[in-house]
Amino acid sequence: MSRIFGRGELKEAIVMVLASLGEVHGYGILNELKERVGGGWKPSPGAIYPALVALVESGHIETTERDGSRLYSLTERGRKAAASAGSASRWSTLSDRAETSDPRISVGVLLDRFADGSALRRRLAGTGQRQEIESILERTAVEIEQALTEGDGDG
Amino acid sequence: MDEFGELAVREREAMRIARRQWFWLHFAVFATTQVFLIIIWALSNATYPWFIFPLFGWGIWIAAHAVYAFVIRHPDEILIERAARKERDGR
Repeated sequence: MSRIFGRGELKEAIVMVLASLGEVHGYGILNELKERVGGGWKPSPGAIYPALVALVESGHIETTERDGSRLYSLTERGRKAAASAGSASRWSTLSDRAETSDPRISVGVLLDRFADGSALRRRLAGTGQRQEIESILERTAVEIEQALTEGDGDG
Repeated sequence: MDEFGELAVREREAMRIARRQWFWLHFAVFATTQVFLIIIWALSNATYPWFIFPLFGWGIWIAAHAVYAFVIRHPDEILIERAARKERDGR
């Protein structure tokens, strides 16, 4: 998978996550980043932790110890940085990169939600809104087929 | 350092070990090839030691790879170590 974050972008993203979550554990930051970037991108502590250390060193975030685990939160400086950096378009750029780096992953993840035995599939089986759901799925299938046909024509 | 930090350190450590393993694999291929070339040279009637050209040419790559595997450190590793040292000394 190619790089999702350019120089300094991971730190900026962490600052933005902390601005919305407040005081949070390392795993909380990791999960929030995974959620916001999407596209099957999986961050790891080995990538996130050094960025956290750098942000502590630069005075953007501070840590507090609680029950043997470390919580991160923004300092005044970090809050200022978040206010000047925060924008939704930033996340969509990152998501685009995550998806284009391996489009099969995000399509696969979406399709897995409809797999046999999945929670969504179980709910679909027991729903009373059968007709409504069937028409949504039918419409989506037709749209996907159209997009694929048009894509083949271009190539 | 909490569990998250320790996991990060272990991950970085694993990356460093992998870098070194790749170097040794590269070195094994290099050494085998060079021995093979020297044997061919020794068995042939050539007096000029032509095997030195691939030896030095490839040798430069091996040296560069060794520097990458054993000397150069990723900035993230330096950061983590510095933080760990600061924590240790601070307590």
